[in-house]
Amino acid sequence: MPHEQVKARIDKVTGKLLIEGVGFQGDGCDVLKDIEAHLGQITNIEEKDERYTYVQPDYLPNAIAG
Amino acid sequence: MENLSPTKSRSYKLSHKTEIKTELTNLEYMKKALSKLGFTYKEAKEGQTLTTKGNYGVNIEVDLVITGNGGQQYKDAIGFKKTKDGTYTATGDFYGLKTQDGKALNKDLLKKEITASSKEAELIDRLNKLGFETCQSEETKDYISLTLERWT
Repeated sequence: MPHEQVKARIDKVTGKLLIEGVGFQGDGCDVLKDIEAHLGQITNIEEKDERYTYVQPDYLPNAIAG
Repeated sequence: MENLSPTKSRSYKLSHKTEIKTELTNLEYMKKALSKLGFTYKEAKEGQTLTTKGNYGVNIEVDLVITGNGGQQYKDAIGFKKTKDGTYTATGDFYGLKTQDGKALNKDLLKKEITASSKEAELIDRLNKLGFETCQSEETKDYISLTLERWT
């Protein structure tokens, strides 16, 4: 059961709204983009992978030996 | 003996009509923001015309008039009117108006507070419709911070 969280910060001085999504996967990310688009002009998007696909490298002596 | 005419005292009444363009486009979120900030208001019904009644005759047709804040009565001095581009303009006579905690109702304060609270109301409303619930809320002089979550 995935847990999704939206963190928002509204700056009263500049009026800027910062939204950060945690736990969104795949199409779920579109939810955030839709909300942002309705609230105002999007000026910046930063995306960070929460999970990295890690490929096990070859054993070094074997790689050197070719 | 010369007949002296009584001295006439003159008093000047200055009107202070101010218009502030806001980014607000949705009346419902604006009303939620006003309520959250402790403002009371009257909204024009269909076919009804509301006007501000400033101390010195600043009468402007508006869609929503602010009647007070906490214990402070504003005597319908300021209101909001929808403009051609769909945004609302705060207009009226701000002079001498104070908030419930005694601060001057500065036009910038009104714009910033209402804009931020209106955005907050819209964000919560949109996310509630998607099944999110507010789990944390914090507000300071400079920002509003919210955390909403859902289990899918």
